[in-house]
Amino acid sequence: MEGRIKNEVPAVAIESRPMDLWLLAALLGLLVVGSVEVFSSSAVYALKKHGDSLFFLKRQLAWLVLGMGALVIGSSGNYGWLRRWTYPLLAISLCMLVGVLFFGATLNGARRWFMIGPLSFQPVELAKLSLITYLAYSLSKKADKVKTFSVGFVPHLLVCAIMMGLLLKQPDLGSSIILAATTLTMLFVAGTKISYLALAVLAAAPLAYSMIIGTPWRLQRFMAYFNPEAYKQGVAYQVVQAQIGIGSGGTTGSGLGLGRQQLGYMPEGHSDFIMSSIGEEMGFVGISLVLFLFAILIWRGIRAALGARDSFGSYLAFGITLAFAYQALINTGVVLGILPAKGLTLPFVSYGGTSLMVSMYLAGLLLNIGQCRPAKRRERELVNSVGGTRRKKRAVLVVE
Amino acid sequence: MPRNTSKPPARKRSLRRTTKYQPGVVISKWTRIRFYVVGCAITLCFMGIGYRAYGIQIKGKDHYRDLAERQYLRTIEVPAPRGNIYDRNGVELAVNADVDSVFANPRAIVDLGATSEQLAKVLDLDIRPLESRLASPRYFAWIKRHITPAQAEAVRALDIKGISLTKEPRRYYPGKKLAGHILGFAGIDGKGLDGLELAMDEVLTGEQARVASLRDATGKLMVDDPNAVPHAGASITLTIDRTIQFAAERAVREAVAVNKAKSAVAVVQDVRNGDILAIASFPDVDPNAPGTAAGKGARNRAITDSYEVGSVMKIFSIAAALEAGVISPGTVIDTEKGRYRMGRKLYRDSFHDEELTIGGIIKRSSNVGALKIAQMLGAPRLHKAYQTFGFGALTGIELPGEVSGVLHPSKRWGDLGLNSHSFGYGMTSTPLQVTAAMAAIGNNGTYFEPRIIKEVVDGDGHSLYTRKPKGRRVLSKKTSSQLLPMLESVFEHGKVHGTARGLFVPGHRVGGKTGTAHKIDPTTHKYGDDLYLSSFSGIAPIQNPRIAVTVLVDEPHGEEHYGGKVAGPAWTRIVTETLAVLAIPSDASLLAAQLEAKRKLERRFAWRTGIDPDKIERERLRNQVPLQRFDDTPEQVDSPAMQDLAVEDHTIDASDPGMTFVPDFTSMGLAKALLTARRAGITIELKGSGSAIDQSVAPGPTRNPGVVQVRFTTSERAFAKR
Repeated sequence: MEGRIKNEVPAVAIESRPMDLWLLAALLGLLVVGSVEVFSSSAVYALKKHGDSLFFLKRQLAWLVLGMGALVIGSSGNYGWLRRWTYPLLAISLCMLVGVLFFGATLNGARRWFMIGPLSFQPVELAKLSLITYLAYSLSKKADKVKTFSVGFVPHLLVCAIMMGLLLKQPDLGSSIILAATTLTMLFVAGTKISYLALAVLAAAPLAYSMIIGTPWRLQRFMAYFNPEAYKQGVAYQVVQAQIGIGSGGTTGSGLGLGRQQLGYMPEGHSDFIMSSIGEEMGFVGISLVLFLFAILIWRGIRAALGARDSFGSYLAFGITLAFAYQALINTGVVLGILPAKGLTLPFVSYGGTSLMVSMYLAGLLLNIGQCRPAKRRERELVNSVGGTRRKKRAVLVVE
Repeated sequence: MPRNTSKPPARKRSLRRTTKYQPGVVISKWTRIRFYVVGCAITLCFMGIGYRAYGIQIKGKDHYRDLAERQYLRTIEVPAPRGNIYDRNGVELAVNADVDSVFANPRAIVDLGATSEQLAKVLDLDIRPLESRLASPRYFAWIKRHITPAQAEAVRALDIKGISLTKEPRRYYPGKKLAGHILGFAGIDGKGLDGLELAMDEVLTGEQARVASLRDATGKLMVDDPNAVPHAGASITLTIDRTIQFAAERAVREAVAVNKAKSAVAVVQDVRNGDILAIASFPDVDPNAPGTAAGKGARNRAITDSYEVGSVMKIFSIAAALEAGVISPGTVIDTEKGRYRMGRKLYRDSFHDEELTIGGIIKRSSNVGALKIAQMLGAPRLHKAYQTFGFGALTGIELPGEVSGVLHPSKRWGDLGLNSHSFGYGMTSTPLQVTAAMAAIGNNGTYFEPRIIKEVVDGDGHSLYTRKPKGRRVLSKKTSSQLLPMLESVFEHGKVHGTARGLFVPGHRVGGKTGTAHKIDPTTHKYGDDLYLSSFSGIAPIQNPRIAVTVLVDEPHGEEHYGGKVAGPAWTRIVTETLAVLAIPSDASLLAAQLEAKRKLERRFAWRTGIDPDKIERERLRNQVPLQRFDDTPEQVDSPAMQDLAVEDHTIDASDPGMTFVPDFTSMGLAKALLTARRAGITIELKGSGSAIDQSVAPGPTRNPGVVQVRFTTSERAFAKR
């Protein structure tokens, strides 16, 4: 085969690296702590409600098996397809965000879920992935133009704003804040001028104000944030109970299964407020461990971003890391009473469901990017017409 | 198509291991730096959260633990079993039994309307207040306490969410109305509210155990500490004899019915030590259902009410004169044919005797004689004597609500006060005071304060109090021995008969004094013509006194109003039955003489009464109905508990003295089980309520059965056995 044309190889040869075992260990650590605590904190509730104290543990283990599958899928193969699927993904997730407003199931006054049989799926999980993909794709493609206002700033913000608008319709303020924070941070690292970012935040401020003032329950939550005691039987009930639970844990906690808050005082002690259960049963040691594991996760994520094969992968890894970091920060901040209450789960630790699966897929992508495998080569034939119906193969182009 | 691979695989693998990590060739330097900046910022945030956790968990630990404990720890008070009350022979008069109570967790109620409707139907409650109770935002509300086993079963069958049953100790009085006045009652929370239960509440109430328990968010308590055992209250043994008490109550009830009276009282006292054997008061009260009693005027009138008892007091004024030596038994008093004017007042007797000995004055109840003797004695000495007999002062009996009666100082008696005091007017006394004073005469002049508590034993079996009676001399032995024949003469027949003619205690010689007092009409404040207080107080047997008995019948509206006719029959009946219980042998020849005398009297008045004693005697002999001996089987069977009382004796296996026969308690009620156990001479412990299903010692002859535990239940099994 002669006449082969080789396409350009990267300027520096990037060797693929072994799987990031630190990242994997931190991840497994969080999953173990989470599953143990899910069982410990839900046993009483599960027995009372479902007549089986293992009800949530069994499901958590099932989700873990599925999540492991998602992790393997995410970490193997090539993530290059995401780049090509950027816009379809974006379109699909926007459609789902619109669709959920009409066909979604309502839980606790919010229309956030698609119910498919016994499974529930939150479109915001997909939206998160698609937005990060879009930003990674766009920022890596635009390179230096990122600094410009019209090309580098406005389109990203617009996509983010549309998603946030749809999320706020559900309403899901917590997720939209995570999307906004992720977007702004990614723009910041890509090199957008700080002044633009400040402008965006300033522009959002009056909007946020009117939303808080204009919605009674948000206003209440906001007020409760400043004075939880006054609302301890109402909107601040969970926050106050969470702090009682965490506080009574002390240094080493009451021991697994010995927490008292699970006697119905701490609703959702196995999902959104699992940090409270950990704080009570494992004490300061337990909380520190979880925070430390998250820190490892984040630094290994950044390391993956730094060592990515290409800038798309780099931004993608960073975006995923940011999403994890912000969700963990907001969740723990709420549980510890630093932030106003939001309905967010703690990634990997809270009771599973599809969100655990998506998170583990994203974690798989992180591992994948960190491994820095060379792109799968695809070959394209260049064919010349040599008169009539005869075709002559001239070259095979290898593209990445 | 061959791949463009620059290196062979083996080489690649070795490179992999050795290649150093080379960051960021694909992104710019500044972007890399910003990655690190963001990473550091996020790490700082995590550290901030860690610091916050430190603040809450290490520094604020105590504060939050306190808050947590306040919401999940509850101290439950486990009520101590209240002490039992026994009669002098150890028969249970007041015991505890576990009964069911229904409570709700209003927060857990799902369907308010349906729940209240079902409960109202089953528990027979008004639906409106029930609904509002269930609608309250609390975690606990009583629905109905102390329900019947059938109701409990029905509630259990309903199985409504948020409605639960719990066992509560309930005070239970197996004898129902028996000694109801004395016992009083304990409220729903086991607090003594009346009678002995009130007076001895502190002793009967045990020490409750305090148990720390977990409470979940719905208010449900979860863990009990099995080690916390409450300290049972002390049990009290009374001087009351259940059988005598029953006899007295029956006699009093019948006296009220026969004489259409307002109320009646009887007191039986052991003269030798002041032990009260019975106090009966009608209207009566069932302490199991005390709610209705107060309206009927049920109270322990023997101590709460004081009366102008009238002629009965003559015995004490004459005793005082005898003791002072102003008269002797042989002294003859001119009784002025029963009419004597002093100042503006005319004193009249029932009979028209010209003159009477001291014994005759008592026998004929002569007011004129009594006042003449009192004139000889003088007011201060009479007052002093009455005081010595205990009038005008509390006896100190261990029951609440005792009154002292009124005995004014002699200076305030006025011109004719001495006269009226000599036969029991112008002063008031309680039936208990009269009985105690009468007992002193029967006890060779030694007065014992009447007492009702024999012994108090605490929960561990240690005796806290044992009655040690101490007497005080109020009369010389000589005087009291002079008085006894006079009291006996009241029952004499013949031309100059006593006021209790026609009454007799079969086979026993007894003595007594009648009293027929006019009562002050509350509307006119004058002595009414048809308002009487008929009384009878006496001693039996007269040759060796054992008991003093007083019967008062208030406002009889029947054919008779004389003490001998109204209170007398009740008195003889009580004495007859008491002497039988005390196993004092009767004299057969005396009985024959008494019956003959009675027949003679009846024959004499047959033209008026229409009763031919000879005909009755002939019929009695023909039917050969033996004289019915009193037994403690109540004849008025009106409730399951009382039916349960009427059980046959279980005979003890006499062939082996060491063996005890344990009865089969199965399907017995509480009262029946208690009675059966007592008859079999074994001690039982009651567990639960309803009917018995199980016992710790199998039925049949057993050596030393000890305390037999009998389990009661309301389950279908028990019902099925019935």
